[in-house]
Amino acid sequence: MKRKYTSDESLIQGILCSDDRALEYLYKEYAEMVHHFVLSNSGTKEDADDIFQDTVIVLYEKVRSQEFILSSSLKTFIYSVSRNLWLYKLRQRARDHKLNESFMLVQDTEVDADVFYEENYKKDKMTEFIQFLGESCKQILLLFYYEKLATKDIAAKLNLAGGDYVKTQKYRCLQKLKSLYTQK
Amino acid sequence: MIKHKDMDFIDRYLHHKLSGESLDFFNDRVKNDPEFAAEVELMTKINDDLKNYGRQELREKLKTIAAKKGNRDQRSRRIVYWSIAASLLVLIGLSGVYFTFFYKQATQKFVFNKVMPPFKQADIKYREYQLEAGKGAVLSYYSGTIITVPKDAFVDKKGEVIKGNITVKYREMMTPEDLFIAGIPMTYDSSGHVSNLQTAGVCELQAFKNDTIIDVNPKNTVNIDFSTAIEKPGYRLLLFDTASKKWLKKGQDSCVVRLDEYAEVKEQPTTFVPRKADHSKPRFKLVYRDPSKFPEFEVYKNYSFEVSDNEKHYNPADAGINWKSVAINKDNFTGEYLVTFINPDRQVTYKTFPVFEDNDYLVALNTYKQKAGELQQKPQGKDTIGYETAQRIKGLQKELLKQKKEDFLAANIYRTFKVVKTGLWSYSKISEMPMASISVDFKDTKGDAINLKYVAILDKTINSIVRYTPEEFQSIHFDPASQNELVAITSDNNFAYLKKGDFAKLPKSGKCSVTLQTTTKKPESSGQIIALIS
Repeated sequence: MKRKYTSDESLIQGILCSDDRALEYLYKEYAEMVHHFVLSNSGTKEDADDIFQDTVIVLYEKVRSQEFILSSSLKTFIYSVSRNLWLYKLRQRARDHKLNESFMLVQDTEVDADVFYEENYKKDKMTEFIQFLGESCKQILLLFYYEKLATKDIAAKLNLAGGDYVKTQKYRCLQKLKSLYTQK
Repeated sequence: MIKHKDMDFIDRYLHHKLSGESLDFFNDRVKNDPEFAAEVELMTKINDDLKNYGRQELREKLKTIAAKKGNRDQRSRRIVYWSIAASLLVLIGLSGVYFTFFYKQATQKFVFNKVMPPFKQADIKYREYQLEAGKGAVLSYYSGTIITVPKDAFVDKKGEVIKGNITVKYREMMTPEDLFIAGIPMTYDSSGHVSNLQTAGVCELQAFKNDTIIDVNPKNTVNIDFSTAIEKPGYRLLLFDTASKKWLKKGQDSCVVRLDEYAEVKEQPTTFVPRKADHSKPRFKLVYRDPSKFPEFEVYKNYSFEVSDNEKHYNPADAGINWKSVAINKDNFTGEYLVTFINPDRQVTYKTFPVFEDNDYLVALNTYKQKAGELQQKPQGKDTIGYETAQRIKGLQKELLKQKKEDFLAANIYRTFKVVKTGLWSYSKISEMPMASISVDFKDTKGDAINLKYVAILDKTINSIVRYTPEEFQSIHFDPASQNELVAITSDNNFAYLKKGDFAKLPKSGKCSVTLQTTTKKPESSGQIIALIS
């Protein structure tokens, strides 16, 4: 890793700039801690991977939300988020286990399969649409809507002419995407 | 087609940058401009889908990083293996003496994998019961635990049923101090991965015929209503296997807060007063598959669950939804049944109680009168000792009901299980490794280094004991938010401890020196140890 993050603040700055090296640094520094916690608390390696990924997603989305204030060390923050996520998952599993225990409905209450599969269908469709839009559109839309970067910052990151250019491109990409959504 | 300006407006809404007047204006437009509303709806959907896509991308990036790291680790492990192999060849060639020496050092490490009370004379005492094996009995322990021994509950080594007088010994270790004094191993080995346990309680049941150990008859097992102080669920039933020296999983948690029932009465189907359905209230028609969970329903037919007046969040729209699954639990304090409807994306719970419609109500009422009459009669049979004990305990429990709810809770949390084997049983769960970690040098009151066999951290908040051998003193973990105590056994088997209140002064990280008090004489009772440390 070429760049070392000397403080939590510089790492957060790296996350804000969508620097992939920040992600690598997070993995190197904290993945083992989260894995150890999950594995020590009835989890499998797959569970630990999932929890670490979910923790990073929570961290990224918190950092990008404007209200984020790091009141403890990043290590403590990551530990408590992963702990909460894992306890929540354990509780869910315990509840799912309970569900199968004792009662059944008299009426036929099978889930409405069409509605259920519709959700998965939509997720697959988004992947397909994004591929159809092309790499440049994908980057602009994700940086703007998911990573919540300002258009001028997107321009700087993608080496584009400027904020206004990104704005126009984003508008065009969105029109294309909307037409794909409405065609379905 | 939507204008740039409107698009910016929607983007600001999606990024939560609208507030006050601008948000009011936005909401008004959504209300009054259908085209704009449709655009907002579509953009919200796209925004959500992009969010999911972005999350998925982040996951993929992390997977790639993990895979790269895995490969790197494998490469470096290969290099290390080769280096070790080469070094070993040199070492073996040079001298076998060192190898033997190191091997001996390793085998001397203290391993806590069996019951090892540090001071036999201070060990937790058993309560002894004399009973006739052919009759059985209901036994009660100081804590409120009830041990129901059916007739012919024990067998000898050959599997023959024991008759005549036998001795049953029983004891409980409910606190970290008890676990330390009784020397109970409290680690859980899952495929070689060892974790620490926190417990809702440990108990031990042993049985003897003429001083010879006997075991439980697998066809006629002993029942324990284990009175514990911890109401939180999530513990697992474990049995300590003396052969493998490991705790083994034997069942899920069975935490129950009991009101006025007791095992002897429980054998007869309990019942409830039928209630007539109120046609103005919503209700659900459900049947149960497992009669053992709610035996009170056993005598009734054609009941449904009516939404309780206490339920303030009932949504009539939920009645029109096809739910994938449903679960029912009972609130023992209100007597209401909590019906949970579940779909993959949502679940709702409603407070309900069972009701009967029209003629079904009259039938149910007759059934109830008949059943209530039967329950008031004393059961006929040779052995009435158990029944009388049960009635006495039931009376005591009714007295408790009159007391405050908290007091009642503390005395009535039970975990019920069947003892299929004599020995140590517990309701425990894996405890997470606390974050605070210190490297400690232990000293006596003169300031000299003290030789210790092991140190134990007693976490009274989560009810756990974690033991550390001298090799592990560089990394002693504890939760600063918990109430902790530190005890130790010296290499000459004396008791050492950290003075009351001093644990809280320890740093949360780094190195530190800890001064331990030591006793000149071995403690002679568990009370003496508890008095010293607490």
